[in-house]
Amino acid sequence: MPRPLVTCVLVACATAAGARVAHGQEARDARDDGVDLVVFHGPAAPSTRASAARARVEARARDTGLAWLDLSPAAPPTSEAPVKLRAGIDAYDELRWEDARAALTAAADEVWRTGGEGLSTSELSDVFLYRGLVETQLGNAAHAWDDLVRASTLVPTRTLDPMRFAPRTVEAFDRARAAVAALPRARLTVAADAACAVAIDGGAAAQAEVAHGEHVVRVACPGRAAWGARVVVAGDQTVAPPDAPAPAPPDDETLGAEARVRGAAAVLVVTVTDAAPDPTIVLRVVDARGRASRRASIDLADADATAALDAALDRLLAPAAPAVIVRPDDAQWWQSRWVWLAAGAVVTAAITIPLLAGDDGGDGGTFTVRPEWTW
Amino acid sequence: MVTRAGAALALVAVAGCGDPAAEVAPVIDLPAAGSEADPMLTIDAVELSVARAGDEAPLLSASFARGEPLVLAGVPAEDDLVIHLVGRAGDVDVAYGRTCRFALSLDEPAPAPHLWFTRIVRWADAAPPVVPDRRGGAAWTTADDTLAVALGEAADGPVSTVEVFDPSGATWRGTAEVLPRRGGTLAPLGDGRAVIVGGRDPGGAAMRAVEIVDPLAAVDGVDTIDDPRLGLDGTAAVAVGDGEVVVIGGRDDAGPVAAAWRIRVGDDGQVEPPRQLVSTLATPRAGHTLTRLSDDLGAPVVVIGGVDAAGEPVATAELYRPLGQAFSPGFAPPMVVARSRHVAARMPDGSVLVAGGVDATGAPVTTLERFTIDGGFVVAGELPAGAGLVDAALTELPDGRVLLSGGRTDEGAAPVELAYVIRLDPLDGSVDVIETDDLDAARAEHVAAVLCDGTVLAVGGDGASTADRYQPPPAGRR
Repeated sequence: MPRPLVTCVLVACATAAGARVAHGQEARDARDDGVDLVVFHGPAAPSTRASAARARVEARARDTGLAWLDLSPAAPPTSEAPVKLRAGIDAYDELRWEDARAALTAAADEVWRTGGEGLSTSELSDVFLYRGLVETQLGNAAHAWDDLVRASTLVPTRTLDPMRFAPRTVEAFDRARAAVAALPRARLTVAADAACAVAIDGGAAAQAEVAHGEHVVRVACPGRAAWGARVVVAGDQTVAPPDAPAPAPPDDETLGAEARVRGAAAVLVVTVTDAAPDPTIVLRVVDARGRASRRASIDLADADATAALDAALDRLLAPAAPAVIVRPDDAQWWQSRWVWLAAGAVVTAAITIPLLAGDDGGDGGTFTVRPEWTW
Repeated sequence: MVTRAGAALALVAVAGCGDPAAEVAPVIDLPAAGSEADPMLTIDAVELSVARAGDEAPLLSASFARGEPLVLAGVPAEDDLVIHLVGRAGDVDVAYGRTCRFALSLDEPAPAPHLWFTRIVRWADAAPPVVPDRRGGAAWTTADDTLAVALGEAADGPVSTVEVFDPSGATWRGTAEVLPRRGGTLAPLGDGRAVIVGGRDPGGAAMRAVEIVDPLAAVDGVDTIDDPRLGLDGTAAVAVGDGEVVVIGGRDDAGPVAAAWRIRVGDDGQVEPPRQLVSTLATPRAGHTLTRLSDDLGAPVVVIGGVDAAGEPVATAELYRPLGQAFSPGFAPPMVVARSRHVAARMPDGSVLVAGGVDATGAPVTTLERFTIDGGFVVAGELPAGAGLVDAALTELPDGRVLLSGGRTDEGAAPVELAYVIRLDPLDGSVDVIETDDLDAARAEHVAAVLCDGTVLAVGGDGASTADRYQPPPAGRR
């Protein structure tokens, strides 16, 4: 039997059989748009609003039985400086100098890397003060002096309690404080958008008069990874965070591939942009070929954003089709299997007999290109 | 109900299978006989092939000598198919044509796609537009792959007619009517509609109406939003994806502005009122260009050139990042030659080629420069003498090259008919500038845009009342 003919017979039989199976299925979930995967992409450090929106979408996805895939960039690791500082001070109090130096050096490295994340101004100063004290105990006077100057640069008004620290320690720190006080001062400015949280030496400010020397700045903008750095001030200075672009969400082609890999007919793509002034959540249905069809866009700053999000999810995730229950008492004549067997036989015969009898080798299911052109 | 539908589908399947004689009859359109673009005198064989759009390899292909009937059997019923026709003289490809993409379905009548078959790298006359003397204006691709043209001025004032060129049949038709405005900027929304902002009305008053035009709508093809803040001359707008357009800079009655707005399509398909961004340009400017650095969602947009409040060309570029809805602070790479009235196009590697324009002295600029986000601006080459430096069109071709057509050698000079294909050398970042066929008519302030079949349509402009259609080489156009 020619291959096109076999194909035709199979198509016809499969169509009829499929219809029968569909009819008899008792409780079938079938979303009209075929969405069975939700892909989320949001900022690495989301705002409260963005987190709430993500939780809402994820809950709906799980309730609806949809696969959930979060492709958001990983959140940056939290600074360990506070823990290391605490460990360093404990070791110092217990006279474990090497342990104290290791912990405080780790804390200092974190301070320089993160711009002092998680530490107040006095705690920032503590990192270098205690390391300076440890270096003093270990006989490294030069290193000790540098750290005491750093500690005093961060908090120029700081003094040591003579009841707690040894007299020579207090004296050494006073000398460092005097040296810092003699340094010229300069204006340190951090250029960042108004929506960003800016800290200089652990204090919330975008501009400060500081002593010449080492300082730390930290900038946290909505929708972007926080940035921090050490700044060596030697005059009026303006620093700006590097313009690292927010990680882009995956493109539609990638999403289509994700859908195909998972056997999904379509993907609901949820993208949260957490930037001021319009934090936005965009929902789009992308089919397995990477083509976007329907979409919704909601301003998360709106008062009714939650209701709008729910409505958008209702619209884009069409509810499961109502259960179809077959009750024998209600069965119609056309629901009899015998009727279907007979109909199937008739259809099969209708296909095969004419084609077998009159097969001319034609390409059923294909076309012929024949330009109306002579040359 | 389900069973009856199933039975109907089975019958449809039977009916489809029982018609093995379905035929596609593409219509071969040819340029005027005897013209330089006419392929018929030179070719001695043709290759007819069917491929999936974008695929290099054909699904089916066959060659035919002169006089043989062209038949290609066994074409599968699929979406996104194209037909290629290559004309050969000896073993050399000298002519080419491709259809726009079409679908074959057993349930639908077979289409009759048109194929514009001409000598390659040749311009040929195309059908004259509805408005023959349109100067300026802008073009965009509509939802059904036709090309719409709007804005511009004619002899009797600003043009309000939006007209559409249909490559199938090579015909023009007038569709929507927009408000007549001098200047004005247009940006496609990506769904076939376009946003028009700025310019001045025929009386010289700032045009505060923002129009959203759908050239294919049977009725009510234009929506209007009134926003006095957008009554700007020399503003620029660009689509940033996902149904959003950003409008940056321009000049109000007080001079160039630094403000930017975004206009986006709402959930219901309606365009929302413009929203002004918090972030602004570092340098207020007008007459600049905006170029998106890729087609990805969130791709940055580079702002190049234009003039500042003193009327001097702005020497630095700026970068707008759509995801943050902000301009990058401190991003100000200096141009090699500060200029305005230039043209810019994105190259295949994501860099931006800047050509032409005038410098601070008003002299035309021959230096080509290329912008990359990491390296700023560098000299990429020089345009040859005689090339259009102002009022020229720079068109991105499907294979990554760009076509510089027409223009003037200097402000006030006569239009030229010269055209050049510019290709990026990816090894050293320089560009090759190769002169190609002259336009059939010298033109400046025209529109040149790529059609869905890969050809370039040049229409309007000072000096020409017809349209020209360019056949780029077939490589890279599958």
